[in-house]
Formats: sequence, structure tokens, C-alpha cells
Amino acid sequence: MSAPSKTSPSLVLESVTVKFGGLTVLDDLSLEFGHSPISSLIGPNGAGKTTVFNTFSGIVEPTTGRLLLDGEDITGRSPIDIARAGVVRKFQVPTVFHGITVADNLKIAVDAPRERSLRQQEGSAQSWEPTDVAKQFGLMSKMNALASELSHGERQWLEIGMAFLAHPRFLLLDEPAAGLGPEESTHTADLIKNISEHCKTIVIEHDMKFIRELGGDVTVLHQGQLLRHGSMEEIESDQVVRDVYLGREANA
Amino acid sequence: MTVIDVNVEQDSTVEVSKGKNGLVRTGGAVAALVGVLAILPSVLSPFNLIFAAQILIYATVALSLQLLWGRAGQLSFGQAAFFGIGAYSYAIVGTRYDIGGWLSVGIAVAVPVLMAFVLGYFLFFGKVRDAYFSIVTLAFVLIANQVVISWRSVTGGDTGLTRVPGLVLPFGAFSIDFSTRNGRYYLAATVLLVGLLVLLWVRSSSFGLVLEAIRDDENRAAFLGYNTSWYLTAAFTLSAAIAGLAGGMFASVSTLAAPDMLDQFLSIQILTWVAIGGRNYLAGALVGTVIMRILSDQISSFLTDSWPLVVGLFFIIVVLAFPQGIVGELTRIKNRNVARLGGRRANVSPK
Ligand SMILES: Nc1ncnc2c1ncn2[C@@H]1O[C@H](COP(=O)(O)OP(=O)(O)O)[C@@H](O)[C@H]1O
Ligand SMILES: [Mg+2]
Repeated sequence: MSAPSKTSPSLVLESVTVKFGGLTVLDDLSLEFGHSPISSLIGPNGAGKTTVFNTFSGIVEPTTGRLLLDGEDITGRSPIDIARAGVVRKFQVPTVFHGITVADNLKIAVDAPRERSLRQQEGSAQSWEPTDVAKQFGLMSKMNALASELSHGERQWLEIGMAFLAHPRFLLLDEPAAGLGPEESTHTADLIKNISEHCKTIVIEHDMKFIRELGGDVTVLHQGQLLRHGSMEEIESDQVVRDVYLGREANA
Repeated sequence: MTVIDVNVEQDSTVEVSKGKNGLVRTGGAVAALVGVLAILPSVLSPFNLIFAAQILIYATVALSLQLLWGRAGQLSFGQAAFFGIGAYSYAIVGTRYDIGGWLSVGIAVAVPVLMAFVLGYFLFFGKVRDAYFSIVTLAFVLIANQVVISWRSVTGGDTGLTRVPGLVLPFGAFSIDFSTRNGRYYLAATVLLVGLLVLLWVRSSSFGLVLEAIRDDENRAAFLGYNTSWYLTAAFTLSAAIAGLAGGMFASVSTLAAPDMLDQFLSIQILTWVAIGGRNYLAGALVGTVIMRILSDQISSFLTDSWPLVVGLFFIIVVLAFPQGIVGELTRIKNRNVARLGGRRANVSPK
């Protein structure tokens, strides 16, 4: 890496267009994450939020445009390389290793291979141990249970915990509160706030209350384009956003 | 909030043998196995002892499939190919070039290993998985079988190679003669124990853990940064190494290499042994092989032609009744009883 990160880390989409056949899913989109410890990505269904994460994690290659991590061009790198560079994601549908124990799930995450520069970085999540995370996430009593025996909420927490243990520089969480009750949802928001003190965290969510609890800055996506960027207060009082998104949610 | 998961029932039988308890239990089981293996020569007739030796080697190849199928989640129809290539490698260097001892053992392992590495590399890095992987491995055993039958000058064609020399292994000033009647049995027992110890090591290693993770969700493992294709290639190669060792020693024990050691029928039999015993368990491969080999032998003694039909039927019934195999079913019953008796299963949380 050219510039050892004295500056704060950054994850950038630069004029990225993603097309699937004739369908333009991301439309000349430029986004920058890293200023704020925690950022939310919102927008109506089909706006392209998951596709942004898919692009960041190397599943989808941009038709045009570039992907930058700390200023370095990582366009076209494989998902494995991108994970090793410290961009770690949680999937929209919780995915954990169901046939092994919770402890083993966490062990695999903390043992995940990483670029040397990332191992040496200070102040990242690298010093965390599985038991620390299990305590934080209320999974201590489940360490010897198979992941398949967990409730939906516990599985969400396990996957978030795994992603956090895997030495992330950027943690991408796709709908971490999906399918959770109100209390579990609040608990999850608290967990993510704690995490974001250790690594940059980007969250896709639908639940406005959840986003409000998280704080941080908000990016609104609409039809593959950037609609607005700002604080939650600014976004909520924005008439355009209300029209395309919040209003629609209120009607739904 | 709970999402009902249809896999829970199945998964609750997966072995959890970590920690100190698991280690003690595993050590005890291995010691018991060694004890049984040591007693057999004094209780079995010479004929049955060679039969037992063959079962032990078949069990080794079943263990090698368990690694690939049970642990890594990739079902290979090609296990007999590596077994047979090991057998032919050993037999060819022994009968044609007079090569024996450690070198012949090394060759019986190295040839299948090289082939498995090349095949596995191109398959796994070519994103071939699951059913497609199984089909390619089936094609591989069909091709290998055809080669062995056609390449008469080297392989002896349909009749194969006979009068394959037994194995004598030098250890410094000493040497052990594995070519005597009892020696052949002890060779088979050693092969089984070597294969078992290697696979027990895999089970307790982080390599084995990552294989299980890949089996459960390969994408999740890759998005954590694991190069899953390398892991699968390594598992495939290790599996072929053990199958090749078993095959080479089978040629030594039975003093021949024949095309039926390298055909799809044997591959499918290996698969049935693992499935019936329980593919998630090392013990399953052992138990399944012993039961199925003895059953096949007994039935074929009075149903000379139709025994595969009966054995096949038995297989279908057991697998339908116990999808997780015999050892899987026993584990489930044990876990349920422990839970019912108010004790706590190792993997049930106190809450
Ligand atoms: N791999 C794909 N192939 C074709 N279309 C896709 C693919 N992935 C996403 N899309 C389409 O792109 C649009 C945006 O999807 P997505 O990014 O998942 O939206 P969001 O997460 O904001 O709900 C949708 O119309 C979806 O159908
Ligand atoms: Mg989405």
C-alpha cells in the first residue's frame, strides 16, 4: 500500500455503473465512506443498496467506474482478496456455519487470513478474542451449541460478531435488524454502535427507528443514484426524500 | 423470535467431540480399536484373517471418502480410482521393476496424489462443485478403468497383475516382513491406524474446521478471506493419498491388482459403506464398511448372482430409516437419553 493509513480509512465508489443485461442497477454512482465511524445506506427496495455492498465485496464488477480502498484501486479484485484487505460483510440473509459450534464459528472468523499490513494496524478490531465478542453479544452460554440451534436473532448476532472478529477495516452489515423484534433490534443497534468504535461500519436498513438509534450519517439511494447525504435530521426533513422513500414507507 | 429450521433435527446429531472430554473419548476409542485389532489374529482362522485384512483396508478407503464427503461436503464417485491407481502403481513397480519397500509405498501414494492434485486443482479452481464434481469424478473412474483394461502391456488388461510381491519394510538394522500370512494382516491394521490417526488430526485441526465451514457455507468462508478452492484441493489430495496408500497395500495383501479394484462399482460400494455408517463420523466409515463387507460376503455365498440386489435393498432401507447412518442414529439416541435423564448434553446450553 502506498500510503500507510495515517489518514482515516476510506472506501469509495468512483462513478460506478453496474448493469445486469439491460438493467442499470447503479447509475454513475459516487459514494465515499470512512468520514463517520458509522454510516447508514437507505433507500426503497430495489434501489441498489445490496448491489453497492456486492460491488464493495467483489461479487459484482462495475461495468464502468472504480472502487478504492484507502485510495488504492481495488476494482476487479476477488472477494477473497477484498476480505483479506479488511472489507468484511454480513449478508442480508444470516449466513453462519450451521453444522459447527458457535465457538468454532467465531474461531474461524478470528483466524481468517489477512494482509500483513492489516494485522499490524493499531486500534483496529484485531485484539478482540472470540470470548470478548461472545460476552458482548450475549452468546457466552451458547458457545458449545451448534449454530443451527440458535434463534434467528442469535444467528444475526453471531454473524455480526464473526464479521467483527475477522479484522475488518470496513464492516458492511446488510439489514442486521431484519426479522428482529423491537427489543432485539435495539440491542443490535447498541452492539453495532460499540463495534463502530473499532472499525468503520456501514449499515443497510429499512427500519427508520433503527437508523435513528444508530446515529451517524445517512446516504439515500434511489434507482441506483445518490439522492441525498446528510445527518438523520436533515434526511428526515428533506422533502424529496420524504416523497420517494419515507412517504412511501408511511403509506405502506 | 425463532425461525424453524428443517435442518435442526439432522444437525443435532453432528459429532461434537472437542475439548478434553472429546480427547479422552477419542483416545479410549482408538485404544479399544487397537485392542480388537490385536486380538483378531488369535481368534480368526487364517482364511478369515485375510478377509479381515481386506476389510480393514476397505475401511481405510471409506475413511478417506468420509474426509471429502462428510467433512468437506464434496461427494466423490472416484474414490476407487485413487484406490486402484495406488494398487496398480504398487503392483507395476513390484512386478516389473522389482521395486519394493518404502519406495513402493511412496509410489503407491505419490501417483494418486499427483493425479488428485491436478484434477482437484482444475475442478475446484474452475468452480466445479457438488453434483458436477460428483459427475466428473465418476467420469474419472470410468476413464481410469478403461485405461487399465486397455493398456495390457503394462496393466495386464482384464486379468490384471498377479503374483504381486508382499511388502518388507526396513527400519534401520531391522525389517518387518509384511508378506507372511499374519504379516499381511498387521500391514492392513497398520494402514487403517495410520489413516485413522491422520484423519483424527485433521478433525482436530483448524484445517478440518475450515473444511466443515466450507461444507456448511462456502461463500461465507470465502467472504471471510479463506481461499476455499485451495482447501478443497488439499482435502481432495489428502483423501487420494490415503485411498492410494490403502490401494497399494491392498495389492500387497491380496498379491494382485485387478480392474475391479478400480471401477465405478467399487466406488459406489465405498459410498454405501460411508452412508450406511454415517457420513458425518469417522466411526461411521469404519462401522459401515465392516457391516456391509460381512453382509455382502455372507449373502454372496448363497446368492451368487443376485447378492448386489439384496445388499442394495438393505442399503436403501437403512438409509431411509436412518438418514444420518447407523452411528448418526446411535448418537441421536444417546443424546436424547442424556437430555431426558436430566443430564446436560455437551452442546445444550444451561439456559
Ligand atoms: N445479480 C443480479 N442480476 C440481475 N439483477 C439484479 C442482480 N442483483 C440485483 N439485481 C437487481 O438490481 C436491483 C437492485 O437490487 P438490490 O441491490 O438488491 O436492491 P436493494 O438491496 O436496494 O433492495 C433490483 O431491481 C434487482 O432485481
Ligand atoms: Mg437488499
